Amino acid sequence: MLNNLQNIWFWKRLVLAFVFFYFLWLWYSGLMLQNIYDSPFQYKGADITFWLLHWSQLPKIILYNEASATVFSYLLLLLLGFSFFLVEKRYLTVLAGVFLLLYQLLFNYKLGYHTHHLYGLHFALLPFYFKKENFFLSANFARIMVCITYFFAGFFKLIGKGYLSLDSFSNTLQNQHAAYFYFHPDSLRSQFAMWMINHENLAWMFFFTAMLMQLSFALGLLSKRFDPFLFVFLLLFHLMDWFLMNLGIFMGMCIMSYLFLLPKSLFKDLRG
Amino acid sequence: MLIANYLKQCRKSNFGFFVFVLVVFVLYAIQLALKTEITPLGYFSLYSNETPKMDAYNQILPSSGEDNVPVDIYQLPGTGFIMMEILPTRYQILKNAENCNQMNHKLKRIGLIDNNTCDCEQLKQFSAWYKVFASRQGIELSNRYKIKEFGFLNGEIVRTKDVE
Repeated sequence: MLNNLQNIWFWKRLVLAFVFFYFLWLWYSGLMLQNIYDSPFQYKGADITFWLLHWSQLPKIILYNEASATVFSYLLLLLLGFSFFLVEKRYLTVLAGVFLLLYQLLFNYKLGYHTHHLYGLHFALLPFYFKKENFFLSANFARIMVCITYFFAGFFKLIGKGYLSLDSFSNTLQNQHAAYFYFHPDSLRSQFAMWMINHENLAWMFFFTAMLMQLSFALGLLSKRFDPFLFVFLLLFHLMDWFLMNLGIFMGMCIMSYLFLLPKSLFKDLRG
Repeated sequence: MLIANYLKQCRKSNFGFFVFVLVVFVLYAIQLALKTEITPLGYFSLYSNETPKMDAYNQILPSSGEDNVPVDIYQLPGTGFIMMEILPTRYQILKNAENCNQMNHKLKRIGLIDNNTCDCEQLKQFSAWYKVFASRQGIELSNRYKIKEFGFLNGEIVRTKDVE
């Protein structure tokens, strides 16, 4: 039987290992800073993070050339690895988190695309940035942020009124897979998506159910009773995001689901 | 109520952390009001609005010669295709926005306006950039390749248009 502290290190290692392998996958996908090339549509206008980075001069150092960007990528992976093995050293995790944030901001700086999928990794790592005495507060805060985020996913769908149109989701699928259908018409994804397109009612029900599932995260702000359901909903949402929408890049957000699995007993001895 | 109890407990046990929590909540509230892309809420507002039925659904892709044969970006390893799919869509959004600034209509609401023409000028480099980006991702595009906007419907190409 593990004691509470060992239990926390177990969850921390689980999250760090996931983030490490997720970055290996991004590397394999050619999405590290050394692979990307300055786009002509960086949105500089009112992007505070762009200007903060610009004034800090950090991009000039990290993105000086391909080699410097590659060194940064290696450092990011090394920090995640060291945090895994030296699990009690909080400063390593904080440093890994800073590098993760820098990767996200620099990706946006170069391409003008906000890598929203990385917020999942930030939320998952957040409880481990603080002293173990504060684990109760930080883990609960991360859990609340996850609930708020998914609730608003449903809320925006509700006020966007896409569900009022029966064929809206069928059209979304046509739009999403416009070229994919051309290149891979026989793949399982294409066949399933095409089947949904041809059955507008089912596609609508699918969209509506997804919206209800997301809205149900509001329950997580009221009680922890529904956590097992929210855990399943979160995984299902991203699984279908990958399979049906071909948005596998967001699968990394699944790691946040561990926040719905933390046992109550985990917090007892640490609250003092 | 869990969230109210949490805030109370937070204030009592660690005031510094309580302030941190408040700052994040305020940031979220501002994002919600302005609907910018600073917090994750920006992403989650995707696919919220109704998607109308169209006679073709557009996607910008490299094309070899005059034959209008698009290059399969989905052959890239892992999820490498995603930026080659998303960024041209972003280009189209910006190109169709007033002064190539998709936030201009929102700036107007608070009495500001972006009149600069640099963003539109910069967008003209899109095709050249896309070729370099593709080569960095592992798709070599020689001079005979052009960047085109393809209109697809049910897996068939129904129209093509050159991208400047």
